[in-house]
Amino acid sequence: MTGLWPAAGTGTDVGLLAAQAALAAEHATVYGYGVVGAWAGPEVRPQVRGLMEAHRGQRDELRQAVRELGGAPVAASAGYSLPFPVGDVASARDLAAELEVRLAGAYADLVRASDGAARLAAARALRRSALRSAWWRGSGQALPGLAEHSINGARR
Amino acid sequence: MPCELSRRTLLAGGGVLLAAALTGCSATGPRQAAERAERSAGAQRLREETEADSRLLLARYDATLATHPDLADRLLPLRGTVAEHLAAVVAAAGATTASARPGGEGAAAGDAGAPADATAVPAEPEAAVSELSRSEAEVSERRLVALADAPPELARLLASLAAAGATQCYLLDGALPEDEPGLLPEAPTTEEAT
Repeated sequence: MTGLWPAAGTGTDVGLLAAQAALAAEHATVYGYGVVGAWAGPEVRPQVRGLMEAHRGQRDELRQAVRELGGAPVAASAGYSLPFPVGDVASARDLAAELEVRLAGAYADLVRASDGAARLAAARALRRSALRSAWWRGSGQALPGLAEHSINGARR
Repeated sequence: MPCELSRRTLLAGGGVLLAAALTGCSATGPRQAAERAERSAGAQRLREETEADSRLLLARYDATLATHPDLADRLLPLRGTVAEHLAAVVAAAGATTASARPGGEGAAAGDAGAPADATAVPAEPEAAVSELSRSEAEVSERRLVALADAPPELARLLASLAAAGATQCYLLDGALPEDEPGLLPEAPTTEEAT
């Protein structure tokens, strides 16, 4: 998926870069849930819609956070390459889990690069992504967001 | 290997700060301060508490499994996750404070010394699972609170552990964090997917 680690405008500090990266990851996630919704089957359509709305909300919060750090919020890409082909219910649900896994990584890095209320917000967002990924997959990752501990190559 | 790390690397690679420290790059400014913070007494104490909590959780899983062997299929994968958490915490402590931790290796080895109260397992299997879920939730919440005062790298680990603990609760008995009661939609009907 492209655009997860964009060049970050004029900012120079790590906190702003990490917030921009998390924002870019939320953009990608919103896009990805569009694909998920097209393939995941009618019985989960309301759930996908709810999750898409939730991620739009998180995206908007990150935009605000970036502005407060003095940055210009990074825009969504025109298109994204999917990490694997999606063309049926199973692959769509795998994609949804994968979106949350990748997003968790961005939030974990934002925890490291922030403090105070922003850090707690990032930690809670990481927790939400871990839970959503488990909801889709029926199983969890031992250390969500920490790619260096990923043993199954979840962050391809 | 050049010491200069791009910001991309800094953001993308977990443990990069630490890696820079271990490869002997001369660090200056904020990075150096961050490394000092990871080695501070407060961080060390926090790591020890985190390790103790993981050991206690592991002991609770073992006590529950001993009382309810029929729960093995359900509990063993989750126990494995707790064991991975303990290993990660011990590894982080070892990497950060190798010289100041003579007992580090012994600590990494052990399942020994289950605390007495870990053996108080409810007789009813579902109650025992719920008790485990409550223990996981308590530890997860404690870690979420503790990361506020942690240095950056440890905070990242604690956030991941807190997220993992909340996931363990969800997988154990469907419980969600108290402050996120409506987080997950109704479970998808997975029959069609498989």
